[in-house]
Amino acid sequence: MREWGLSVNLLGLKARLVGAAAFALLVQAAVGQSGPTVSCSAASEPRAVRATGIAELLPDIVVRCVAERIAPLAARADLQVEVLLSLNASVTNRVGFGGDSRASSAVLVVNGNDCAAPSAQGGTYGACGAPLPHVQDPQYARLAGRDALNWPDVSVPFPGAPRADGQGRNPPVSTLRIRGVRANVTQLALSAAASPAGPDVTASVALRATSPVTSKGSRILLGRPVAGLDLSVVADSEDAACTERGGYRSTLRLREGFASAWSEGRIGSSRAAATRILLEFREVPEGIGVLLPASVDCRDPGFDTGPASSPDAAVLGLISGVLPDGGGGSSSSGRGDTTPSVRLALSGGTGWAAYEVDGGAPLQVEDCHVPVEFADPSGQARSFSAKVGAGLAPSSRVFVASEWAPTPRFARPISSRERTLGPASCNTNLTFPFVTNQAGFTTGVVITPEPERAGSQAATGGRPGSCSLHYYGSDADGQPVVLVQKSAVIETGEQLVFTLSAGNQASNLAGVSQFRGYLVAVCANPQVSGYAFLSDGFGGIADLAMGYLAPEVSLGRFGKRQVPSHVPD
Amino acid sequence: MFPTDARSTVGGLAWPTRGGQPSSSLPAAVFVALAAAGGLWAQPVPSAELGVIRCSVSASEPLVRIEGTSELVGDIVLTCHNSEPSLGLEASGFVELEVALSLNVDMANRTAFGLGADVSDAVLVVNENNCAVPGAGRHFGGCPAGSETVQAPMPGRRESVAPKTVRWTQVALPIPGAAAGRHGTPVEPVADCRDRYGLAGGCHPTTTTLRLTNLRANAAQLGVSGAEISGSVAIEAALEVLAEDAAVVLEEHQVTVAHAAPGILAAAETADADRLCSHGETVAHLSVVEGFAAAFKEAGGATFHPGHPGWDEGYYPFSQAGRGQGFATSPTRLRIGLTGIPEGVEVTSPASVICSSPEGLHTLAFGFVAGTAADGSGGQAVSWRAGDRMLADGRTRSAVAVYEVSRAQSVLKEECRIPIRFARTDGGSGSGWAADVTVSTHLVPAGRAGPGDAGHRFAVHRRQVGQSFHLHGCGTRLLFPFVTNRSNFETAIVITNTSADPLGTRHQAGRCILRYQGAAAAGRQPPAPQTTLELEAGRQLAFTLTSGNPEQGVMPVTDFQGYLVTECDFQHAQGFAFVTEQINGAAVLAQGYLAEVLAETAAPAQSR
Repeated sequence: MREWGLSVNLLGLKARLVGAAAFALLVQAAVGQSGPTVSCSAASEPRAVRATGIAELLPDIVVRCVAERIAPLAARADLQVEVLLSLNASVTNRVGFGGDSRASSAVLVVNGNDCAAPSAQGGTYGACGAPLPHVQDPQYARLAGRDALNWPDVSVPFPGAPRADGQGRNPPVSTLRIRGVRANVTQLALSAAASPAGPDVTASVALRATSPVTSKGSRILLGRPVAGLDLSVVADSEDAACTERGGYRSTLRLREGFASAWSEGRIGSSRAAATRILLEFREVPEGIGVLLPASVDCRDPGFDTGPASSPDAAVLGLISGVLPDGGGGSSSSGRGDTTPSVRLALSGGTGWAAYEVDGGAPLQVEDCHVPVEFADPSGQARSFSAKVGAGLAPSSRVFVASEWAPTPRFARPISSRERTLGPASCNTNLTFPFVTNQAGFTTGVVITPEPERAGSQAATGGRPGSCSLHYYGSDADGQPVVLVQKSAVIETGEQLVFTLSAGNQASNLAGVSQFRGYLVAVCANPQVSGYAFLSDGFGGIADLAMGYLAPEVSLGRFGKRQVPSHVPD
Repeated sequence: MFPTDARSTVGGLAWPTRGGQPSSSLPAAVFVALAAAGGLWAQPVPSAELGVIRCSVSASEPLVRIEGTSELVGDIVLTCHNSEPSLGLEASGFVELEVALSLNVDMANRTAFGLGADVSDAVLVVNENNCAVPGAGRHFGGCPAGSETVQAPMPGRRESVAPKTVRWTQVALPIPGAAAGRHGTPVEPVADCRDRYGLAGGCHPTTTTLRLTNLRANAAQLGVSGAEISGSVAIEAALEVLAEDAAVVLEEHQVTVAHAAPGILAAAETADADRLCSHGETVAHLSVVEGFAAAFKEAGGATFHPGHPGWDEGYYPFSQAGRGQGFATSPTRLRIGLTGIPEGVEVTSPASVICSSPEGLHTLAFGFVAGTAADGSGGQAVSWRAGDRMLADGRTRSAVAVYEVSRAQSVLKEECRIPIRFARTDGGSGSGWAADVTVSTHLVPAGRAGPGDAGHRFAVHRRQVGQSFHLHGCGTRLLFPFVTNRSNFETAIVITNTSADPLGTRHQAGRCILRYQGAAAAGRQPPAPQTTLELEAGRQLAFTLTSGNPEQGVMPVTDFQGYLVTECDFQHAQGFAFVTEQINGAAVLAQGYLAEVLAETAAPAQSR
């Protein structure tokens, strides 16, 4: 067999005969032709496909064949051809149909003669309940390489010719519909693009027969890779907040890349599983917990704003017991609870969770907001920060046709598309660089929670919280002193006031004797200010005094104390 | 309903049977009639005469690296058939034509491999008659298949005046379906071509293909800055076919042969910069991301015959009907360049890097290449057991590491975090300065391939803006804007080492240099700089200008007014000044302030 492209004639082709009377006419007609007599062209309606998809469903390809000259008057044999489909990406259909390891789930349908159980080998008629007994049954494809499928022994009714059984004519156009082809789109994805769009998914169709050919439409556009999921972190100023429990809450925005990106499994004849979204958290500081909601109702009045926008329809349900690749597991028991209350299992600062997309409108670009809460059960001063990545799931490394790999499946998002949550802190750290109650001096210290800022949506300052006071210095003999005291809760609108010598019993602070050094205050409140007042109180009357504002110590992304720096222009 | 478990031949055609017998689904009468009519099936198929030869053009469109100056682009295939009207018998059975191919970038095929200065290794193959190129011109014979009726693969010629063009002349195009004779022998019409296609004395196949293969392009001419390219840029080919004695019509003249996109992206990740101060070393990571799935290539599977159509075969993962593995003749190399390394800091990187993935699969790995030339060529991969490699060049304060891909998955877009270790050479407690160590990462060998060079070369793209490892200075500078001990005034200074804190900061100890700037008494120079004794974490250095603090290495200064800058060898120093007016030994006025912590300025060390 040679590869001839898209057009075949009848020279040397096998005939399917059902009556002796028709036989002679058929053969005469067949050998009497010269040059191409049937011209076929292939076309498709391209669609958006998910750029991270390993087994993306491609649109149907329709090969239309017509007689180049006028339709023959006599019956003609079916064209016997082998159809070869080549993609610019690997074929990733499920294989193993009908006990044949190379039979894939992609199907070729002749003249619309379809059924639910195609033939694995081809060449069968009326075996699967397809409506046209004189047209071959639909036929599973065979793998012909990592990027190619073929259908051997396809019988194509000669377009417009009288049928050999005398029951009328064949349609003037014979069609070969190829459906259900899946491809690894990730091969075409680019790292450099703002969206991972790469070259389009294209295909070529060839018909093999011992006949001349003309090729039309050799390159068929099938799919345009588009990101299926966009992850962003809602700006801190809009909704980030320190919680009453001493934690920190932020919001992830998961946006469908295009209207049908999350719809596979719910539309058409697809038997694919519902779309899943895998969230992966990294670099979560030790001791910090991550809480997620069991359900996310994407129809969120807080975000579905604007007169032209229609409300989102999808609901995300958390999967419990999910595997690291986003597969497995089952629906979380707490479905319906939209508060972040499910604690993520973390190991080494890394953990993952998966949501399954329920509902949703195929024509609507869904936009879902997932609240994430960082919890600090220890109440220690910490920086809340982590990296989060999101991708469609389950992820897989099976990039070829497989008998067992899940459909659909996706490549993991690369780390450069991760987002950073934070850094944020719900504590304030103050240093008082010099405090003393030696040599007749004493130091008064005041810590003031800032009032809640007008117009701010974030409940930042002004909430109750205590302070831990860490003394570093020496006593009157020059011996090192390290001391920690924890104050009582500073209620909203109150101040913490004490002197080194006397402390403040009401605030649970004891005085320290003959101390000179510095003080670090760690306050469970995101907005506090500090003031120190040093005075020389000989004879109980202060004759020298000065004061200063305490510098704040900020923590960086790794929870480390930051150093003032700038990069020169 | 033709079961396909066996076949027989009727009239020279494969015919489905079951169990060696004609299919029982055919009525017996039909089969009998079919057998009896065998003569009709055997109607002869005469050879065709020369008509108008129409050729469609198609090409594969792989992704190629836009940094590449000699990227292998997709094959172009001309599929030709013979259509009416007939122009009569052509006695040679061939049409002689010239094929010219031009790209929108320069061709980058090799030329200096022994067949002539202008003979390239871009090859034209007729009817898939694939073999090593026997010579510079048109040859018949020597190829393993169809050698008498189809010419051997032919190398194209490059023109110095037209670097984007390669040309094949005197190509013998078999006339589709025409009688085929031995080369040089006039042919006679053939009464029946059946079973004689492709044979001398028989007929040419009814379709003729011309494959232009092993085409290399200078993709870098489309732009090489990864930061500025979003998406891909098409490499287009324009084709011309000229035949003096026949009508040869191309149905398309322009095809896309590749999409060029950045092959590598890199980002610098500074980890715990403070470790350089507290532990004397820290590890930063260079995040390297493959631009697309097949951008990083490992070596293997390639042939090295100049002009062989399979040269670099397997280059694309899905060429050759899936037999390719995404390999290359030489593995992809990347060069990591560091500049602005501070004095007293050495830089090392591992001999091998096995890149991790979330699933624990390690599909991408790099090996360090030692002894490379400045352009990244040459050298030899070191053993993975060799340990960390020293990179820094002490004279230029720069460092270079060249790695090559030792393992890669051609269908997966991969990434890797390459550790770069910075270590202080003075033991970790010296007075290092902050620095932004600039890092540039690009594919090598750099430059354009020479006429005889095999393998791939790359243009050096501009450094990505902002790619640097930030190293903190291991010290603190404090400014006391006003200090005095004139006119009955006195100033007390407190410097606090607050690296002891409840925030997880690593304890650091160090000395401080006190630099007085300002007006000394008439006829005197300002006090000379003083260096204190070491100040432990959590401790304070306290002194007055007049008395100093000899126990901590601070000498008195007299009659001074100005400002004081302290440079401490530890981070997180803070300062406090207390200015008093004293009359008869008693303080009557006082005022204090916190010293200003001067922001560290990150700049290349050599500029300091």
